[in-house]
Amino acid sequence: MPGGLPSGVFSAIREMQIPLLAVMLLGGCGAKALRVLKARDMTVGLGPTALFPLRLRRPIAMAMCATELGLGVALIVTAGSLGTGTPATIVRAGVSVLFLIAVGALVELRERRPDAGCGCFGDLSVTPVGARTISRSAVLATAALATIGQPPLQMPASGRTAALWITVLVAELLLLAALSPELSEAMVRLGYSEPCEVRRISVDRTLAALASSATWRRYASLVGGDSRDTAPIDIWREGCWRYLVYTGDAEGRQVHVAFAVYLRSRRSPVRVAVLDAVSGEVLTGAPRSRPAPDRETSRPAPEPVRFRQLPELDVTRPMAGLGARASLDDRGAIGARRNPRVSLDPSAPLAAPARHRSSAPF
Amino acid sequence: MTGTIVERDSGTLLVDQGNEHGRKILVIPEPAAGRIQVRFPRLQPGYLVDVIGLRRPGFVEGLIPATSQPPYRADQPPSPPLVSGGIPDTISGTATWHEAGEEPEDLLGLAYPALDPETGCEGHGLSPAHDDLGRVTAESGRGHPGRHTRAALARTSPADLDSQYVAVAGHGPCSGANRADRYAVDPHQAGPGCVQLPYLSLGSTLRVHNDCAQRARELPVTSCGAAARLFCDRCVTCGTSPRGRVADLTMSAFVDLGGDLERGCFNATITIGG
Repeated sequence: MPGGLPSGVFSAIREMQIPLLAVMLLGGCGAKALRVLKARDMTVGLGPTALFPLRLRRPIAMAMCATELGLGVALIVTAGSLGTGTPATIVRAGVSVLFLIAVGALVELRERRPDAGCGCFGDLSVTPVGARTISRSAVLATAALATIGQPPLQMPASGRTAALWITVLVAELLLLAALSPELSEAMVRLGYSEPCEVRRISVDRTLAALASSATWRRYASLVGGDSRDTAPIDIWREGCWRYLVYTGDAEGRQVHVAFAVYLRSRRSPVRVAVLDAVSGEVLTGAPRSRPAPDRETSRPAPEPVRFRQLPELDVTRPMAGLGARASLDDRGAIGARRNPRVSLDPSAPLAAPARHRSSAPF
Repeated sequence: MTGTIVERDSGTLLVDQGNEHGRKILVIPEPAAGRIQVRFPRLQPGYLVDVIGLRRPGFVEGLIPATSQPPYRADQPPSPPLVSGGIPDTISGTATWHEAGEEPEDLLGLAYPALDPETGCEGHGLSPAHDDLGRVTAESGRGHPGRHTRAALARTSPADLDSQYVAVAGHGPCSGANRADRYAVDPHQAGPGCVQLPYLSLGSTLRVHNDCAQRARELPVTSCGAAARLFCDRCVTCGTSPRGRVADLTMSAFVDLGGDLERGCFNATITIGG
């Protein structure tokens, strides 16, 4: 059938535009709304709104999102026999005008704010506006113009027609993907895992993680029981670790119990150090009231490099009264240099007992 | 003076420096206007300003530009690239200086741009601690200690918090600053800035290296420098530094590290943990 294929292709292209445009409009509106919800500000990063005075940005951003939503829904409603005629034409002409305006706005944005993204898909559209973004809007404007005067959408008459439609759809999606800088941004985000150093984790979550840890249970008697009833005297953060210091009492001696909690969502490692409240001497060891089971020192201790977020301590020193090497337990308290009274005395004799009573939950 | 311009009346600007430093009037005299506008062409509400000047009764007289003005509005700083894996221990960028304010003049320390949001940095996150009489408490050496604790939180009512920050920022109903509020930018809402720094706390130690003078020193974090995150600029004291401010040093620390106060910045490399 000579000449049949091109006309079939053109027909398929026209058939595909309405659902495609509706998805683009609704997706754009949804992405913008998501960004606004995340930032709790109507004016954040909505591309061309940056061209307007500050007082106009909010209403313009709202109008833009409402227009996209309205036209997207209207395209779907008038795609069938329901809106045949003038309503469908008005809606499709409106979509065409919208995308033509978008082309002009993006050109202007590139001239006046070369660093700004188009904001078309919210957070994902942060790449400065370039020829690809403008071309995409032009393609969509052309697609919208092609839908004007199109009869109501119908299901494909045959399997061959359906295959042709799908082929056209895939080809157009590939074209739009090639013109969309958002795609690479989305791929980067999919593979992105926020480093723990910049992850926002509340103190309440840290307290909950500490309360559920074996380390806390072991030292709870020192600090007076339940972490929900006992308030730390200080909390601070160093990258991936949050430190919590409690006052306590060990055999009549005032002590500070410093916990270091690794900031991650689940099963946070917890380290602990016990310090004399007056002298600052480190007293790492299990409390006598609830002795920890002895452990062989031959068990492999964790390498400091595994905890790169903890400050390095190359100095070894005796554990008070126990003569064992200081463990990672007390690195948190000293390494963070929070307690200047803690002195590291490399000249002190080191004993090498076969066993110690470290409380570290390694 | 560093901050966001929130109001302008010819050569007089109202500059928001964040909740800790409040708002100050910056007057740019005619002889200095040309020199400042070369590097700060947009002296309009919503844009950033960073100038060096003289403190006068009730205002600051701007004399020379400290850096160059970022081209974006203060509420739209660029985002840092997404990098998976840990943040490197060594980060390069720009080190600037700030006035002592309520700190001792000879304090060697720095305002860090990425304090833990839970520590109440510039009024963000938790509230500061109050004693039983409602006074804000402080503890030697830490600047804001006690504010991080649950006990401190429990002692502080929301009303205290509101009134304090309203008062500090000069946003009170009688301040006449409501019109300017819409241009004020909360750095915590504006994103991490263009350089990703690990969250630290007051008292944390950094090693700051002046890449120009080849001098280094370990310095404690002594105050909140969240406003520095808004500045995605470079320092060109010796070569061109990577974008972003990594430390806002006290004046004494800046000089101690070989910085030239009139230049306003030096290319710096910080090492977390010293």
